[in-house]
Amino acid sequence: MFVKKQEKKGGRYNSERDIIYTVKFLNDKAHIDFEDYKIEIEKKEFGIPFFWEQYFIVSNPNSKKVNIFSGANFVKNLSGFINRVNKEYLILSKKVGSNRSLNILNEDFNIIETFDNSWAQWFINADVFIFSEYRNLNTLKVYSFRTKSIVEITVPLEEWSSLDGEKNKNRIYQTIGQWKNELLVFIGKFKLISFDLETGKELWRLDDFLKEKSSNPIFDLPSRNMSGSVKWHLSASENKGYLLVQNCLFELDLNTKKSQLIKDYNESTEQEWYFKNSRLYDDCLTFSGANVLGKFPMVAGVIDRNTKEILWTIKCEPGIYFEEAPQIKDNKLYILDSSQTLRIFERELP
Amino acid sequence: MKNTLLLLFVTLIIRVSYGSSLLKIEEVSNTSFIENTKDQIEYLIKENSNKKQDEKWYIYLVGQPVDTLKYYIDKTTKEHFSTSYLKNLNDDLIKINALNNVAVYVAFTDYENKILTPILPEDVNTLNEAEIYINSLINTKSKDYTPNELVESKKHFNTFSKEFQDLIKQVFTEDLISKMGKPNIVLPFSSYSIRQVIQLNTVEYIEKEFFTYTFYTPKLDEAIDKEALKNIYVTTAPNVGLSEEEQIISRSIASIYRYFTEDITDYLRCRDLLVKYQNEAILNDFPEFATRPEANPCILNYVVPWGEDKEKSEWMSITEDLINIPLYAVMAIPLTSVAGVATVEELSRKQIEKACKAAAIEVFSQTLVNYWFEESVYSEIDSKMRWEKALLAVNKPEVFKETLKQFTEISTRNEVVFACLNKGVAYKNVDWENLDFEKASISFSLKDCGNNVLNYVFFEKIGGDAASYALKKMLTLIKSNPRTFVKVWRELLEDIGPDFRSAARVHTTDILKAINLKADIDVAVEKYIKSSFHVEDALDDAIKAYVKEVNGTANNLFENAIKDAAIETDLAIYEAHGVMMNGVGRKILKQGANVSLNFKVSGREVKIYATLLERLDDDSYRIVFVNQPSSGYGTVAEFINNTTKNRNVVLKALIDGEISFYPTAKGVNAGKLEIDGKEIEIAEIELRTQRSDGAFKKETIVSKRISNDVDGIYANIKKNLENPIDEAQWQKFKKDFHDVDELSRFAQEPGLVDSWRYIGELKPSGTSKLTQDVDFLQVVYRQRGNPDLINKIGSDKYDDIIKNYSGQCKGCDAPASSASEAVKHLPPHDEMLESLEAFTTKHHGKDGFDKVINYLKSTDPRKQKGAEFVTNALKRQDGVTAFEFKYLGDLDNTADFVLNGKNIDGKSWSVASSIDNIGNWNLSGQLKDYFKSDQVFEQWFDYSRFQKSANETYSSMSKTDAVEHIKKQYQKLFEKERNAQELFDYITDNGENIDKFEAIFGENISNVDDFIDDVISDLSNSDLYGFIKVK
Repeated sequence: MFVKKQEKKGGRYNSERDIIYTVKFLNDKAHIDFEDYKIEIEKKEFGIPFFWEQYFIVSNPNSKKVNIFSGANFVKNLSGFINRVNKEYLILSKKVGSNRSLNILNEDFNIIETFDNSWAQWFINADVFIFSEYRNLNTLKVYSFRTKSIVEITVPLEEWSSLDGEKNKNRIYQTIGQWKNELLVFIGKFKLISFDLETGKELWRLDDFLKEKSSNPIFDLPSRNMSGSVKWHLSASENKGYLLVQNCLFELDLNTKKSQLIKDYNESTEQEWYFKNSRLYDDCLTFSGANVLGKFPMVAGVIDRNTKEILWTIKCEPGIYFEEAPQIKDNKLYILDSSQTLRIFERELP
Repeated sequence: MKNTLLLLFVTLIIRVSYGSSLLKIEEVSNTSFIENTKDQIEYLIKENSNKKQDEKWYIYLVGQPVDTLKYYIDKTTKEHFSTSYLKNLNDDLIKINALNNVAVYVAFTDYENKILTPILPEDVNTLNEAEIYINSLINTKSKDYTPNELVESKKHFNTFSKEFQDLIKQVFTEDLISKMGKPNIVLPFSSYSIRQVIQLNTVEYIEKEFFTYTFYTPKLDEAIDKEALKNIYVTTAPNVGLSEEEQIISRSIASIYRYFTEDITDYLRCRDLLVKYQNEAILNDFPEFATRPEANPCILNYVVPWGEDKEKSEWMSITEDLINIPLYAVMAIPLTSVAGVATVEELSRKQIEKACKAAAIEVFSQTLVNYWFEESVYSEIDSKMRWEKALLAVNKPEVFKETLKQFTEISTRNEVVFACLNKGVAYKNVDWENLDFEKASISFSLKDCGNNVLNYVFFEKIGGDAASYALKKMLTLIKSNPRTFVKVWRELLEDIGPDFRSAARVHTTDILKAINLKADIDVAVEKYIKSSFHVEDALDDAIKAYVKEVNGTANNLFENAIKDAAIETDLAIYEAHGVMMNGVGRKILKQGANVSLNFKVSGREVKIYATLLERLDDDSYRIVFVNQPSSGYGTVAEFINNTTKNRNVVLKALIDGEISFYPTAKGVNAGKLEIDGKEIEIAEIELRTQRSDGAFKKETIVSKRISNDVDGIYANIKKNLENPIDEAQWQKFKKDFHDVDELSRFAQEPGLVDSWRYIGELKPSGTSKLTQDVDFLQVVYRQRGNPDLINKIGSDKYDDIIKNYSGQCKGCDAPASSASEAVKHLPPHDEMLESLEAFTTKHHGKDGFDKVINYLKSTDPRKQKGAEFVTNALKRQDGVTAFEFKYLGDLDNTADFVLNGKNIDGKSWSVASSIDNIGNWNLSGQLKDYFKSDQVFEQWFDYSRFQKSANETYSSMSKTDAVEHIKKQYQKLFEKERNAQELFDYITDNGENIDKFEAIFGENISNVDDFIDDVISDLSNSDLYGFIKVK
């Protein structure tokens, strides 16, 4: 389905801009090449790179410094770091003394709102920014860009003991996203809870969205690994959620509030599949995973959303694995491996 | 008036919700079914016409011969029904049949009929819907079931709905109906059947028991108003019956009586209220509330406008929205201070009384629940204090909520609790207006209340109301302390009294389902709770009887110790890989309790009772005695000397080899194991003594052996040797073994001599005492006699393992002080080989198995220790897929084994020399890779290295302490700034993929400072240390 066209060491693909840029480190410098521009900054200041409006922004969490470029031209720097934005605003994290704050910046990079003693960022879209106070992750604060007000959501996180006395505490693993006026949150033990974004009240919940499979020990995932393996993709327009986990594809019907096993990929084929990371596209799902239980994600592929069949796969060389699921744009597929090489494929003509 | 044969099935209450076939159509001829049923009814009509009013009978059994009915009438105590249930139910029927306008005959069936059905969605809860659902599966060509199965299912449902109805029609001919002589004839049915539920994509079936309830009305003046009847049913309490099934029929009878005697126009008016309020907030905005008027629209009579001048609290606002008097009245109790006494006075006094009554009932019900299931209350030893703590723990918001529920429904539960409040409970100093119990005291007498109050509070409507206070408390206790839950459960069953105990047990499944164990607790806890319930159900009477026989009286402590022992065994059976390592390592297939065994001693039969009797996988049995916790008899010898006379005689005779190990099992409890009257083989007799932590010390009292005469034993052994032995060897053997107990084992199994020779040849010097370790020889003999096992390990490798193994045998001298820790910490040979056998049985054939064996046969004690740890830790472990697993392609990156997708390294490290040095090491590439890839990874540390450490600080550590100790060592490693930075940079690709880091640790960590401050420093909560396990 796809044929290999190119490999770029240090390559990164940005799907919104549909461009490839490369990052290379030489001595103490980081060299970033994209389109016809070349940027050089101190290696210690390199960190999270992203495109926003006409800017190319590099934010480093350790040096807490944000460098802003327009093309190759340096525009300004900010103290703090940024890793969440929507089309209008950027979220700047700052730490001054012991006070950690989250700050909303406008298009001129001016602070228009500050939330003191706040640190954890969960979710942002055009309507809301959701965050938590420092070390108080049970409470989600929903800031509305429209009303400038905050609604609090208290997420019920229980504790339990195993037979040998080991204490366990639940936690939030994923703020899945906004559906209508609801926030969908996935907490441990495979629970999904919907909260009203306006009142913060719980609306409904699914107690075990994997219940068709969760009696199988391979779904008994330890907490550290949960978010990596269980990540819902929300398709609000379809009123659906999709989850590719271990060897199974689950579908969540938001209208009926039910999750259902759609396909078990180890039931009908000789080849086993253990999915790790995934992305949702209009007509397909992409994934990285393994063919043997316990292996690092050394294979990646594409699943047809209509037929649910695996259309295409690729395998890594020994010693290397895929860190993410492939990205697809038009006729091209991009996938980054653990040696920081971007592999680029093109769709075969029928 | 409708005189036609109207076939109307009104589904009244649906416990399991959908119908079932009532009879085996294939096996019972239609003719005999109809004739038999008609005979019964005609018999009843005829008999009743000649009987006094209080002797008439209105219950019959469809399809059965009339003689069976006669039997039931004579023996109304058949085990399906509680004592006097049929008699009392019939008394109600006498009352209703005395009416001029209706005849009611009740039918019971108890065919153990099997009906096929696919798994139905929860919302499919009527027979018709079930049929429609199956049709839809057929039409959509469901891939989940085979077409044949679906067609078969449909056929079964048709059998019920068509053929059975036809049969019923034929029974109730015009002629028969006219003989009944009433304008209305109502015939309730209760049917019991066994349903086979088709599993998705398999040919396997689950069996479930189902009760269904239906009305058949062959003749009516005018059609029954179903909703009105349903409404009456909802508000009618059963007159008789213990189980839910019995109560439903009783409620049905009482409802029919009310329907034909009361004016139902009030209800019809109520129903109009539903229309009136259909677009109002009261029915639309409060789903929890809306279900109540739908069930009983008459409560809408109480809806009145709320005054303008009342203060607004949050509760008030809700009340205002609901504008509902019952809720308002309930609120009025604690809210007089907010709403004012005048407001309360405005209300109907009757309503307030009802609300107060409901609230008092709820407060007391909660107190009862707290008394048993609130952990802090249960731990109080003083009974009076315990009651007061239970009262103080009452949850006020729950009182309001539950009061509202109870207020609008009449239930037996409420009546029983209220009766108890009048008779057996006294409160002092309760501030009822504010529900303040701070200064209150309570006295309670279960005797005066009657133990039925416990039955109704804990077991009524278990399946119907999963959110009830009792269930919530049960779940909380299960989660916080499962062993205490089991203790509490036992105490409750004891307190509930014999009349209700069996009824309570019937609800066990419903309780487990309602608690929804699986959703909230650890799998091991779930298994433990289920096993405990199973043991309580299956063996309770036998154990109770046993304790009485042995002690002459009840002894809860002893009884509970036996049950705890039985739970452990049941867990082993449940998990299907329970290898009990107590000398004879065998799988247990089944267990019984209090089984009578007749041994022949000196020509006479001596009967003893086996406390527990376990069937082993070779069809021999193990007798288990449990030391009485308060007896103080710690040793086997003390037990033998102080046990019953018969046991003493039998045990001594067995030990002395005077009698055979083949007693005859007798009695009911033997029957449950299907060995009544049979001679069985006893493999061994074991004594279990419960330690303070709840676990058991297991000691063998005697296993199969013979004779006490040394020379006779020598002669016996030599005579029975399979392979000849030269005189020099024989003399050496005699030098090595002269103890009777040991020799009797050789006599029992002369092949042990071959093992002795084999070991002597493998280890000709240096470890001479190893050849004298009979436990070890026994294991070697058994294993070498198992060619399949030796083939799997490899004959040469097996030899090498024994040859090179550096552990010390049980009778051997302790290792020299200069020996390495690995040598000192290796377990004895027999234990190592037992683990190896179980490990091989479980895991042979899996990738990398041979590599583990190669490590074990190595000459390096450190490698031996590592492999020994892996074999021991995994010998019963399901889900292992590979060993020495290359997780990154064919490169040499390996994990020791893979368990359910988790890559795991076994770390049998010395505490002092290795674990305590972790902080000085470099970060391993493997650890970094795992964190970065977000792959599941664990390190399993060997607990025996702590236990066997010469340092008492380490040897006294619990597993939890050991985990904490290791965490601290890793913390030293991570908190070094260069390591923290290296790990942070590696995981985040120099800060580029910060989301990945957040995803792993869930803490929204965005830089290395936070990583150190919030993750590395947080030993108790951080996911960073989750990879550390101690096994």
